[in-house]
Amino acid sequence: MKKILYSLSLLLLIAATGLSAFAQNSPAKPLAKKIILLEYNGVVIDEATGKAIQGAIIHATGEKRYSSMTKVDGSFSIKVPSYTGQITCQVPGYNDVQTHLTKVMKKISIHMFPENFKTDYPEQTKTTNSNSTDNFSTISALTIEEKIATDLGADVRSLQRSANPAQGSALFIGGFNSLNANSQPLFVVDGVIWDTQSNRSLMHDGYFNNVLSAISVNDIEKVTVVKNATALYGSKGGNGVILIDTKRFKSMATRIDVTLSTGVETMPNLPSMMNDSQYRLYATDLIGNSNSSADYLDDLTKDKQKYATYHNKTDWTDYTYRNALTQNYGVNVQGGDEIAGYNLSVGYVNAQSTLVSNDFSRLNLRFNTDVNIAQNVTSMLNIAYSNTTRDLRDEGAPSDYSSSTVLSPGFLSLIKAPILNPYQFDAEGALTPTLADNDRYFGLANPVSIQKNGEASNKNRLKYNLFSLNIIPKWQINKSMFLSEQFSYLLNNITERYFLPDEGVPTFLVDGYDAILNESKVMSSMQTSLYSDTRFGWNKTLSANKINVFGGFRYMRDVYQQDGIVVNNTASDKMPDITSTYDNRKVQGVNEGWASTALYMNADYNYAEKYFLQGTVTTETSTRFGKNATGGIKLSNYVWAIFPSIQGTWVVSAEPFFQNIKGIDYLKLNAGFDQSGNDDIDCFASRTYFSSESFLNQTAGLSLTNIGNDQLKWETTSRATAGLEINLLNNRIGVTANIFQSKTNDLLTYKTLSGVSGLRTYLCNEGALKNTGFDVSARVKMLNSKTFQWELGASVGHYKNEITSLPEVSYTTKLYGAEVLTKVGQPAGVFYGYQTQGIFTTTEEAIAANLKNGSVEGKSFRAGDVHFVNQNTDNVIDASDKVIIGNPNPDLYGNLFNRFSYKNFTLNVVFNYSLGNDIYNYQRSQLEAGSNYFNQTTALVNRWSYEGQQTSLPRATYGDPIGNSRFSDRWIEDGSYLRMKSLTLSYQIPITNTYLQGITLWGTANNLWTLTKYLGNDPEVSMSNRTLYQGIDRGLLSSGRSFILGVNINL
Amino acid sequence: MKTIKSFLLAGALIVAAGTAFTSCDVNTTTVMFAEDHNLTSARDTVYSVLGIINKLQMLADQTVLLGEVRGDLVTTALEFNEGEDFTALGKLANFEQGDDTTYNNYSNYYAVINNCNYFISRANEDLMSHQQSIFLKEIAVVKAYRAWMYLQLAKIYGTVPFYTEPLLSYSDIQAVANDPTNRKGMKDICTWLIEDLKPYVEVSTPSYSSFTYGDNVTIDSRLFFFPIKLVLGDLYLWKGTYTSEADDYAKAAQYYRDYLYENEKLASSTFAIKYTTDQFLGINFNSWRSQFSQITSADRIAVIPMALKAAYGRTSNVSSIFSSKLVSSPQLDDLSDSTFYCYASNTTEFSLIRDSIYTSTWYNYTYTPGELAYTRGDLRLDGSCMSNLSGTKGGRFITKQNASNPHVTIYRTGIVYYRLAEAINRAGFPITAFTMLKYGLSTGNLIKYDKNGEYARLKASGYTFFDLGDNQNIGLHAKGCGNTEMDALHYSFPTINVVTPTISDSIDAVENLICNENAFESAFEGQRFFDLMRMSIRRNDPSFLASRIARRNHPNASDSEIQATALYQKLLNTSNWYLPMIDK
Repeated sequence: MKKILYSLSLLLLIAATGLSAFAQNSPAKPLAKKIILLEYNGVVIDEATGKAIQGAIIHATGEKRYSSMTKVDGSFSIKVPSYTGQITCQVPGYNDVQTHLTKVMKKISIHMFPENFKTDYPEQTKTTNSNSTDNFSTISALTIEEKIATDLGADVRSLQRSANPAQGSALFIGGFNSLNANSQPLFVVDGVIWDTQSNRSLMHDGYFNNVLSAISVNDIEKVTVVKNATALYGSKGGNGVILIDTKRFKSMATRIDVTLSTGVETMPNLPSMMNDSQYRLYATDLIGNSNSSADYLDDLTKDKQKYATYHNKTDWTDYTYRNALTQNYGVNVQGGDEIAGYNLSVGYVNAQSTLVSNDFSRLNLRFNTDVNIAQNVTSMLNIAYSNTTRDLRDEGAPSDYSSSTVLSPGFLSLIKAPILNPYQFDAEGALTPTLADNDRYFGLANPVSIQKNGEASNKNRLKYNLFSLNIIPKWQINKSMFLSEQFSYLLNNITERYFLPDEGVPTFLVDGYDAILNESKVMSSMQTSLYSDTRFGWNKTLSANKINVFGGFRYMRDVYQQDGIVVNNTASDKMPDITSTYDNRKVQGVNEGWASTALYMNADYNYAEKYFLQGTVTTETSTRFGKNATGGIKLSNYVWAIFPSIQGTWVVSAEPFFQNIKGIDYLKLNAGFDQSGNDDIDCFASRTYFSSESFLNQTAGLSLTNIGNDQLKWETTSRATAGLEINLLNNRIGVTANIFQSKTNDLLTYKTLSGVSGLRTYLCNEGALKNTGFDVSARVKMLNSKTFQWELGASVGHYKNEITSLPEVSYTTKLYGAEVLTKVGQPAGVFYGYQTQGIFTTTEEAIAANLKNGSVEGKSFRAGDVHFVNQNTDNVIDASDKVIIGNPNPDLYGNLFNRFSYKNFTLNVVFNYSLGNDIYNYQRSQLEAGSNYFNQTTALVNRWSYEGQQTSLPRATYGDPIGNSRFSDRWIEDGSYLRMKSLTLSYQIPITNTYLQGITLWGTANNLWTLTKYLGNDPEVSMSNRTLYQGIDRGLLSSGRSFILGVNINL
Repeated sequence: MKTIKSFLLAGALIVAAGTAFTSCDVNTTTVMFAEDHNLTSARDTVYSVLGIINKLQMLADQTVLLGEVRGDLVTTALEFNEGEDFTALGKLANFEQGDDTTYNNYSNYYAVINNCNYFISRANEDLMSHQQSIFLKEIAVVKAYRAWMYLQLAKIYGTVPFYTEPLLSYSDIQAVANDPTNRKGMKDICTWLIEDLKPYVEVSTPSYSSFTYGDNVTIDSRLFFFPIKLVLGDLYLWKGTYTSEADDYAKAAQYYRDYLYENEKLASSTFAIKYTTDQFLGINFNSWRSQFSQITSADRIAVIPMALKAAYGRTSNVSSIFSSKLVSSPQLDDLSDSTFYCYASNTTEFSLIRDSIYTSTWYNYTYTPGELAYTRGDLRLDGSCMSNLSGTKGGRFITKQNASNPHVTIYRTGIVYYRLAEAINRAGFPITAFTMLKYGLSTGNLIKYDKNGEYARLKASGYTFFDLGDNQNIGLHAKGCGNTEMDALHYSFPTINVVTPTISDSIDAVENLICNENAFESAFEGQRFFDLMRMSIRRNDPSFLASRIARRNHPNASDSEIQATALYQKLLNTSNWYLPMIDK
């Protein structure tokens, strides 16, 4: 199959080349036969009023040479070549309409809908499965992912990382196409492939540095999600591609757009935690089986300070969460002349986080120019700079408590005992302004101290700078040929400082030995990316035949360097700067470089805008490939992977037989097959290497660290797609549907290496998985009158993922207490643990079940314990009773939207939803474990506490010796939801004068309403971009409701 | 045509440029690719040798625990009945480790071997600088590491994959892992390694100066290296165990002696524990305990250096495991109870005697006629663990592995002396061996206590392993039992209960003494299981090992009771002595 495809694609390219040669043989004479023109008549009317439209431009679709214009009565007459199947009508203020021709004698009637509706026809017929969104004028989003989630929710599954400002989302196109390598789409910004550092780690737990946050949404013209035919991107396109185009100069008239908005986000949804008296009871219950002394429960003490210290009613979240303010300013200036055009934009955002001490500010500049250097020589020059500053603290529930005390203020504020106070009391029991130290009974830090003592520009601060330079000269050799070069330089620079104060934080041991009082860390990373894309293009139109060929080579070179240092026990919390005197200095570093080169060729052919064929072949080599990788072509020392694509499209409605068909305005079918890859291979895994390890803190020893797999290669994703696009009832209904099946071979997996090597794992390409799915979107123009338009739409996406082969049949990965099973025949990321069937409410029940924990000699489960399902009738609850208990993959996901337009008002409501996905609620498993002095949710008020009590929550026992809170389906929840993602009302003030082109006032409310059974803060969770980490909720900040008011002024 | 030309020209340009750009090699300073790691300068050797020691650190704990926990001198502390670590230790102690890899990670040994192989194959011995071979000293110590590693593998796993070229590719690894013909057992391994090491026997160890392993504490790097003579001694001792050749034992003894003699390592009274009064009231433990707490102790020969705390590098858990999860076995207490401490109140007589067989050697000795006082117990037991207050046997927390000295000792003089005694005995000289135990190895003592013409045989043997000069060595038994040389009541050459005792009977009997005696010297240092194993194998008597280990918690049980235990039965099958090599 693969071979056939290669041959086909190559044939296509040869044919294209041959055709061009053939075409050039006798340039003097037109080769084509004389074109027969046919005349058609019709009328163009406004759909709402039924009135004729004068001055509408009609042309043969894709052929503006054959055009006409409507008269006063809306009628037109157009002569088009006999092979023409469709005509396009364009009227300012209305959406373009394409319509198929009727019989010559019949009159064509074209109904125009105003621009308030979504466009029905793109400028060019799409031959690939892609979808795009544009017009970001009334939008409050700080990063583009939000827009992708609201507008392209079925094309991309989007999961917000954290509601800290501009953290963006993890995005998945067409399921999971990799297990261990990068699973995020490729981002191509203004034609340049970006490395979005999606699997790099930072020092603040729970934080992800989102490279896309460097681009202001106000600067973006258009975002396109490319779901197939990504062969052009070679070994980088396997996860799909997202194209981001920034705004460029359009017309010479100077245009200034000013956008100002300000908003407030309310506190996020938080679990309902026990109050002081509930907690007091709970703690007493726990003491029953632990040896702690109960000083804090002493209500009768005479010691006023002690009494005051342990008799508070503190809701700690009052100190860590708040309503947050956001300001966003942007100016965009566009203008130019015949020599040069420019688009300059400047923006500034200051966004508070609802989680105290996590604020964000960003300054961004972008200067895009288009210059005519000489006749036929043009160049674009783009310069962009963005500077981000963040205040940061650890976030979310930690994965375990062995290596550190809890340091995340947000999570601390949930688990901290409500009977305590953030401030100290004096001997008389009066509150002082001094922050309380960590409490000695419960061993938890004072979150307010972590916030306040960690506050300084040299303590918990992240600075992120992104600079990009993009030069694209282009030589139009003649009418049909060009040669262009795109050169880009990208500098990504992060400096992160982390400081954990001593005050208010318990001393903890690292490696069971070193007592840590405070900790200071600094990390800086720099990535420079060079990109060069040299391209030659040629196009030709020969009567109904159109061909467009381009080919070239692409070269990318990256260097990533990261240096970090950690020290402990600095002299005081006031001195976080790292000097050589501190304890436990540990340094770490990454120094990686890689490069890749690709040669590509792409040919688009269409006959009469009816039959489209697109073929692409890319061959790519990378320093990350092993030098003996198989499956490619070996030239000199490099192995070149080959990625073909072939896509065919048939506009059925352009066929003559369609001329009689009524009700269907447009029908397009397409099918294709393509391959693309994933080259996110550990930089040096293909080579055998030595690395250094610190030796007695003084020097380093060099030893063998990796056995290179010189056959290591890219993962290959082969994707077959088919789709249709249909517009019905005078374009009132539009439906797009696509189905796909993809198979990823040569998955990068780890294999156990024989111990005789002295090493344990080996990266290899032994695994495969597949995804099958579809996406459908539909829009209906419900009502269209002169002043009022109503449009409804919905989209739905689906995929089914299945691992089809692995080097070892199955394995589990332990993540946040969960076990994630990777097994042939199962989807990626399924949860593997114990099933439960309620609890034993009576001793009788427990005796009847006669279950032991761990082994035959293990402890018996008793009344109040969870009734774990004994899968194998041995009456022992052990590892053999684990089963698959959840699947993080959704059945369906997508958007619903509803838009009303009334005169100058527009009301736009967008919903997003996900159905059938499971979430492992790790945060809840910590808040309802009933095993330690962490404050618990109010659900635990109803914990089992007496014989016969009917409840679903087990007894509370210190340390949970029987394992009631182990990883089980107790913590797996249905993550389905429907959410009103955004509601936007905008009003365009009807003024125009020389200086003022227009003013739009708008207001947006986000996350107004969510329908879900999920018990966590937010059913949209993502704690990592990695495939196996999906569906785990570690309690990262969730979104509150936000309300934004904005004004756009066009000068 | 013009268009075609430009079309083709553009195409050619693209291809040419594409080809030019494909030379996309990347340089890095983070890692060193095998092909670039050529070992051509002195600096390379230092970092590579330290890299090997880094790998040694990985197996330090495991080596000690595998040798001790499975033996008869410790048992797991019952107080620690929960937690994974206990489970792993408990399973190990009962030979039920299954596929638990907590302390059974054979890959750690091969990590050292593979790095050693790499070093040996790449380092050029002929490379000279200032008339000295740059790599000779390092090659010698690396070969010693490799030899010691294979010795460990053979002790722990039996027959193991044996290779001496570096494995740098998957196919190389698979070939070695899957090829049954490259497996070697102890005998073959020893034979090969002896030939490999012999040429380096006189090469001195390198010195990298001192290393800081904690706050303001340093260790001399010369202690990192395993003396070749001692490794050769071990190889011959194990080889002899399989060949039963007296000559192998004699060679073992010779190498041990040569090392001890040349380095002036003594079994002197400095390291003995003594009562300070004949009323058995005060004990001076310091001389004994300081051997383990002070890294500068003259008794220490080679260690795997470990950091004192994690901030300084890889740390060892040995001292914390011994002080919290393991306790002394009742069997060890019982052994101690069966010994007698002899206190001689005065030692006045002193004379010099000339060697009557060969001239020129003078020697001295002491003896005292007079009142002797006795009490039970070898003081080294109390010196190595907490004293037993409960009155029951065993269960003492172990202090010998001292947290202030985080290094894991591989060679210690006290233990080498026992191996020397074992080797001399098996070389056919039980009286000499016994003299070592009771009086101390010196020519004078050998002459004085000679019987059956053994000294003459020694002299005639051509070996000089008995000759430690006229030194101050005391009897090994005296290190914990006082004036053993005076003790005619409780410590004398074993009587053989057969009608016509042969020399072989005497050898076995002396070896029993050495075995029991060595328990006090080497307990808790990871030697015991392998010592029992060696003696069992050479006697072709699995019950020698099985009975002792099965008895570890039941010192008073009758033989038949011990023989009925599952552990005893399991250990009768020698294949259960070896761990499985688990890949996971």
